[in-house]
Amino acid sequence: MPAFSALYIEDPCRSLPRVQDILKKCADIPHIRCERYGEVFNPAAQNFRVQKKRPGLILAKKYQNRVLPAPPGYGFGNANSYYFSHLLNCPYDCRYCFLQGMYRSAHYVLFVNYEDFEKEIAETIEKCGDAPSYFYAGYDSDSLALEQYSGFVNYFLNVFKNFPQAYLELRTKSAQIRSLLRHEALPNVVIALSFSPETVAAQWEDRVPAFSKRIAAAKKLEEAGWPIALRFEPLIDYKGVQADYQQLFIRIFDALDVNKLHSVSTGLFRMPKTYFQNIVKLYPDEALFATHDETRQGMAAHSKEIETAQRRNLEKMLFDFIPQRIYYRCALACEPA
Amino acid sequence: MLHLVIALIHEAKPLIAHYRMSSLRGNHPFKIYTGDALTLIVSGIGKPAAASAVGYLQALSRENGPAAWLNIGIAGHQHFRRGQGFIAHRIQDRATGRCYYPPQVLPFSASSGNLITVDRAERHYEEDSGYDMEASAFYNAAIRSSTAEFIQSYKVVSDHPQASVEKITKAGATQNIAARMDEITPLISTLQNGIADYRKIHVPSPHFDHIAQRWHFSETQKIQLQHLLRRAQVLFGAQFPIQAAPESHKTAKGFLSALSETLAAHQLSL
Ligand code: SF4
Repeated sequence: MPAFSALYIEDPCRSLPRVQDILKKCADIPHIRCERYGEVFNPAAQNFRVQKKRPGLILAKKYQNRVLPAPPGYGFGNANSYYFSHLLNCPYDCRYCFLQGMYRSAHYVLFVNYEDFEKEIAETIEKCGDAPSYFYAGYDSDSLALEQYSGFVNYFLNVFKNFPQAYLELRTKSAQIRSLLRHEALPNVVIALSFSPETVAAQWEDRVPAFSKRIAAAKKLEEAGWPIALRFEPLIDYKGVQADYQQLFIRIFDALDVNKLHSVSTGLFRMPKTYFQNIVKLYPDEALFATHDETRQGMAAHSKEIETAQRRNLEKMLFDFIPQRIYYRCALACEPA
Repeated sequence: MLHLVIALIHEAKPLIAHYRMSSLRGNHPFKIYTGDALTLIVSGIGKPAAASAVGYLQALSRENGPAAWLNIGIAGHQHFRRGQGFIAHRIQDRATGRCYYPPQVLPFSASSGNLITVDRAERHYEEDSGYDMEASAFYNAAIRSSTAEFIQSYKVVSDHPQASVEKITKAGATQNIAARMDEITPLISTLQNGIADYRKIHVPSPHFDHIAQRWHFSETQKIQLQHLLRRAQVLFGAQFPIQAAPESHKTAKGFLSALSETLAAHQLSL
C-alpha cells in the first residue's frame, strides 16, 4: 500500500464523492489545495528520483485529450487504436521505465472525472461504427496500480461491458486482482501481464510483486475466464539472457493454458532520446544506462545487431510454447507496466 | 551542505549557538555564519532581502555543488497556537498570486501547513494559513541552484488574531525559535542527509583531473570525458579495461574513442 507524502487536491474536484472517499482514506497526511495540478507536477527543478521515495497523490480533472490515438505499432489492434490515462506515474519502480524521463515529478496524478472519460470513450467507439476499436489503459502507469484508491477497474469494466465491439487492455505488473475477480469475466477486456526474467526483476524492478504471486494471480484470472495476454518487454541484453528467458517461459507456460491466451508480444529496449538523457541524469550510477550510447531515429536503443539477434532468439524459444498466430511485436518498448 | 536563511539575528541566535557557528570573515553585505556543513545568512526582513541573501550565498558557494536550503523564522497564523512550528507545504506570494509547493517527500517529522508571503505585516489572518514576509522569494531564488525537495521553509507561530504582531519582541523571537529546536534540529539533519546522498550520486570520476591533464582536451571533449569516465566507473569500478587504459593511447581523441567503444561493447552481467 503506497504511503503518500501528501494529497494535493485541485479546487474544482474537491467536492466529488470519489475525491471525498480518497480524502477519508488518507486522513492522516497533509491535504494541500491547488488550482491546477500542473502547478505541483510540472515545475522545473524537481527530482524524480528523490520524489520516488515517497511521492504525493494529486487529485485532478482532465479537461482535454482524454482519449488519444495510440502510437503506431502499439498494442494488438491495428486500426482504431486509442489510449487513455486516468493515472500518471506508477507505484512500482522499474529502472527501465520511460515515465522517469517523461515527467519531472514522481507524484501520482489521478484524474478523477471518470464520467468525462466515459463519455469520450463512448463517442470514440460510436465513431468507429461496427468496426472493432481498441483502448489501452496502461500507457502512463500500471492499470491496476492504486486501485484501492481509484476504483478505476470497477468503473471502467462497467463501461466496457456495454460495448462488446470495443476492447480494453489493462496492462499490469500487479498481483492485486480482487477488483477483477469481483466481476464476471468480459471477453473484450484483456489483462496484459508483463514479465521479465527473475534476474532482471531483481535488478531493475523495485517494488514489483514477486513472480510467484503474479503468476498465481494470472492463473486465477485465467480460471475466472479473463482473456490473458503476456508481454515480454523490454528485452535487455546481458550475459545469460537467453537461458533466463528459457527458464521464464518454462515457468509461465507450465502454469498457464496456452490455448486460453489472448496474445503474446515482445518489445525492445527503446526510448526517446530526450527521456533517456533525463534518466541518465537521474541515475548516473546505473549500469543499465552506462553501456548505452547508441541512438537511432531519436531513440536510445541497443545496437541493431543485438536487437535483431535477441528478438530472433527469443521468438524461436517462444514458438516452442505458443502458436505464432497469437504473437505480435510491439513497436514501442520500455513502456509502462 | 545546508544553507539557512533567516531574516533576523534574534531568530538566528539559537541556531548559531546550537551549531557553534562562527562569523564568516571578510567584507560581506550580510552577516554570515558557518559551521559543520552549514551556512547561515541573516537576510533582513522582506522578499527583496531574502532573494538577495540567497543570491549572495549562491554566488559565494558556486563551486561547491548543490546544497539544501532552509528558511527559518517566526510567522503569524490564523489559528495555530503561539509557539507551534510547521513546514510550509504550500507557499503563496500574495502580491503575485503565484504558489509554490515544496515537495514533502523526505521523512520530516514536523507537521506542515500553508504559508502566505505578504509585503506588509499581516493583521487580518483571513485564511487558514501562516503569514510571513520572506518564504516565497526565498524559495523562488533557491530553486535556481538546487532541486525543490531540498528547499524548505519552517515557521514558528509568533502572532495570531488574539496576539498581534506589534507585541513581538526581539527576545520573544529568539525564544520562539529556541523552543522549537527539538523540531528544527531533526529537520536540518534530514535535509543534510538527503543532500549528502544526492551529492554522492553525482560525484565526478576520480580519474578526471589526472586524465584531463594528460592530453589537451577541448571544452566539448572535457564534457565527453566526464560522461565516459562516469560510465566507466559504473561498469568497471576504479580499473580501466586494458583496451581503454590511458597508457595505451597517444591522443585525447584516441583515448575518448577507445573508451567509448569499450563501453558500448560491454555486455552486462547480472
Ligand atoms: S514499467 Fe510499468 S510497472 Fe514498472 S514503473 Fe513503469 S509503469 Fe510501473
